[in-house]
Amino acid sequence: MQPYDMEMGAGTFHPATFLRAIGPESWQAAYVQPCRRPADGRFGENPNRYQYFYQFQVVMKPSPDNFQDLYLDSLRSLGIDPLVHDIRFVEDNWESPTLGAWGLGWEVWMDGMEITQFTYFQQAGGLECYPVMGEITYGVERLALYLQGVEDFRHLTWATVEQQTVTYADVFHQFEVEMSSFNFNEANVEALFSQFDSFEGETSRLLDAGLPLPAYDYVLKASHVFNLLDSRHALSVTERQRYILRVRALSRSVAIAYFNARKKLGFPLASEETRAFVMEALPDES
Amino acid sequence: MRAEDFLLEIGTEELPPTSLHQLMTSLQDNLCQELQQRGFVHGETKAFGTPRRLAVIIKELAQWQPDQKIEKRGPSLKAAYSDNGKPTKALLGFARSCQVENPDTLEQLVTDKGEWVVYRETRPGNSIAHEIEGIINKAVGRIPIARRMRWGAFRTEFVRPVHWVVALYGTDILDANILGQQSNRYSFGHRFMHPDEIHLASPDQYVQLCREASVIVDFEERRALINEDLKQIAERFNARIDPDQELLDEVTSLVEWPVVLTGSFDEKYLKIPDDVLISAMRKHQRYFHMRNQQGNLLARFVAVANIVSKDESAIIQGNERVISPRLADAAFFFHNDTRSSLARKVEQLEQVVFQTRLGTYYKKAVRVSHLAGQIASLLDTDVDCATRAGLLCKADLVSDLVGEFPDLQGVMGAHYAKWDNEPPEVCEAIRTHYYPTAAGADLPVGKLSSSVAIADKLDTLTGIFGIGQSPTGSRDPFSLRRQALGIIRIIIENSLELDLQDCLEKASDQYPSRFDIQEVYQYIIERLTHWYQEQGIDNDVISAILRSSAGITDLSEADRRIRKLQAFRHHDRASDLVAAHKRVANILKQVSGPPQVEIDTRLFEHEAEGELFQAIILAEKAFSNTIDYQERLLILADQQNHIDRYFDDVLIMSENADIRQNRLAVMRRMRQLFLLVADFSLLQN
Repeated sequence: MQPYDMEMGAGTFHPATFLRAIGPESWQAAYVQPCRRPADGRFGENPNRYQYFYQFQVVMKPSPDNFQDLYLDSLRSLGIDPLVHDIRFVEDNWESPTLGAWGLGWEVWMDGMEITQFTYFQQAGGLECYPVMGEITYGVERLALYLQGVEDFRHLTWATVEQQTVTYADVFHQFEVEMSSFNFNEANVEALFSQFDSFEGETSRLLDAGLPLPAYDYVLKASHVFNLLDSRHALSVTERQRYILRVRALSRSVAIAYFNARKKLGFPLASEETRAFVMEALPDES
Repeated sequence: MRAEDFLLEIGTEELPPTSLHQLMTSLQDNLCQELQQRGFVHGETKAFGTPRRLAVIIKELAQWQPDQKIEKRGPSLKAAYSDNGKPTKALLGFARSCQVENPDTLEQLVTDKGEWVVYRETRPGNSIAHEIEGIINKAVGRIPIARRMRWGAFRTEFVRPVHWVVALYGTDILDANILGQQSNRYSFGHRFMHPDEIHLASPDQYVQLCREASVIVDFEERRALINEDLKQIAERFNARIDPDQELLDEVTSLVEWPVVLTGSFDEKYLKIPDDVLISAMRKHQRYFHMRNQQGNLLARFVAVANIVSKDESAIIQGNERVISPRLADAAFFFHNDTRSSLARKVEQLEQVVFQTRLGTYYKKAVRVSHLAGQIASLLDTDVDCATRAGLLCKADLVSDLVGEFPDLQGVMGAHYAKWDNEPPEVCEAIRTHYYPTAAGADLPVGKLSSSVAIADKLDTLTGIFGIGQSPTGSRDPFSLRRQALGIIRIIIENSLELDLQDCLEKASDQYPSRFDIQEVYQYIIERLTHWYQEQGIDNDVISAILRSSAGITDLSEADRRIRKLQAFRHHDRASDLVAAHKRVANILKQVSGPPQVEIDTRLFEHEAEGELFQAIILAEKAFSNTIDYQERLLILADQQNHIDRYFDDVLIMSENADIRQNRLAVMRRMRQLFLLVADFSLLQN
């Protein structure tokens, strides 16, 4: 698939992951997703932490038995030899408070660097995930460091044109510097607060109109505005918690609305068996 | 009877390293319990565990359960047969439940308590092959798992997805379906170095064949290997590695084939405080750090990899590439944090809630500040410094670095205070105000630091108890248990002369609605009793001191008394003293009404009365001459003869009310004298 065309903190927010994790339907997808994490800006100074970067996301639902092996094979085909490098699955249980989602899994270490997040979804939007979606999130730039043998994002080769190298810095450094400045100092806090309220209102309105997918777009917008308020240090600890809960409430309502919409369609992508199991477990509506 | 070794191995995806050891020992314990419950005898057992497997070997496990004698008691004979001798419904029902067709074939049980119908049967024991699935599933189901997970489209739940199960009894496979896997004799080696299956003929091959497949299944062996390699690396750099059991256990749980490596980072990062470097290495990367002989940190790290690499330098280089952005980040945070002073950060604490009903951390900082000053004054140490440290001690909670490394709270506060040129005593008091951070951990040193550490804990305890959120069972979100014990240890082990009740009153005074302190006082005393129990001091000794007239509130003084009394109770005169005090106390228990205080010697009738009274006066005088507890104990022991004689010669409960009251007054005076030392009547002989 293609990236979702909205600002988001991780590939998990793409509807092809978050929404598809909900309900009994089978689903497999792979896509690149540009991610924005305003608070991670370091003015382009940190060798491997940027406020804008790329993830390559793979989701498989139900997670296959050989999920880890498939992943390791993908590393091999990238040219990473697990008999040279120290590759390990280190416990890292993932939780997104704003999505009301959590899963168990690992960060995958290569020679001590986190190159991938590996998660078995257990809950999304407050709903139990069954079957379980397995999610693999590759850090594209970090993998590129290894493949190209350089130490710093800035020195990654983006492209070579007529023996002239265009580096990652050529493409993104100015963006990192300006965006860090924006995220930490310039983003208009007052406007952000009012945007948040408006996006929140839109989500509810769209849900009332029976449109979970457009509503989800507004959850994404609200979530990004929240991240900007956070990087501006505009939220006290208690207020921050309140905003997280507000976004989570939105995600939950969207998750439930999406589930019901798919149910109305008869969960077309579900296997017979799982559909029957899930329908059985649902409370009778009559 | 046949007995064979038994092996159970559960192959999984990578298990959580901090609970691996507990998972494997719990599987072992649960298996043993289940076997025992079913009567299967066995020999020694051993648990194994790596990131990808939990295993247990049980030696000489019996093939058969012993035969089981079953006896079920049915209705009483009276209820079993009607008057005309026909079986009642009760009897028929019972017979049916025992699958007996003719109820008259049931036996009878006659005891002196009555007569019953009884069903007896000897059931032959089952074989281990028959029982094993139930045993393993029960044992697995009872493993404590913080968060269970599901995977794929299965409903099975476990710590991590399960891929294989080995269940071998001697050379036989024991058939069982465990966590969705059918048992077999195939294990698997190291994920990369030996991905093939391992054919296990019998349990005794397990450790060796796994080793040949690059997996050291024995947790302790792996840990010892890592430890040995750490030592060698330290030697190579003429350095030492701070012992860190927790980290050692964690890395042991992260590898099947440990390889210890070391790399370096840019020396410019050594300008960041050591604590920050160590936390960055330890928490994010599970690295050990090294110090030179002067104790200075080396610009190196020590990592434990899980592979014998075809190119070890690639792994070292990779790790070096990771640590420097981590340290760059730490430097970034440190720089950010030092842009505003700690005093400014105190204002930001207005934004951080301590507890909804107790207000923000700013309010807490103000309370702790006042209280620390008052305690410092009681301890005759620097009040200004204590007040200052109390105010600043929580300010690092809003710093970026503590946000990143919560375990550095207090430590970072001290660094920032030093940066702001606060006096060294203030920095030190901030650094240690959370101390002791665990049972047996270090205490703050000196009166000033102690006063701040005590103030912080008293404030939390008084407040949380005040709003009725005292800890219950395992629920103790503010770790009040640790804080109460902290107060106890600081006061007693630092020999501080502090009155606990008085300190609690002062802590309570800091809150706008004063809180009652009795409950929290009782709680601290409970923790104190527990603390003494762990040191082998008897409960009744603590009660005896608690009920003495001084009670337990000056903890250091109480401590001296408790230890002397504990020693004295084995003294050859101890039992006399206890017996004497008991006689006095028992008499007084029988009377009520307002006590007469004045003693009229003219009402004495027996020689023993005058003698005892004289002895009391002498003892009181002796008491006023010595505060030595041991001497006082001996003075009291001397009273025993007088008391015995008194009880032999004198009938206290005289018919004459005046005489009776007078005698009771003597007894009271005697008891008061005892109570100055302890309530001996509570000591068990």
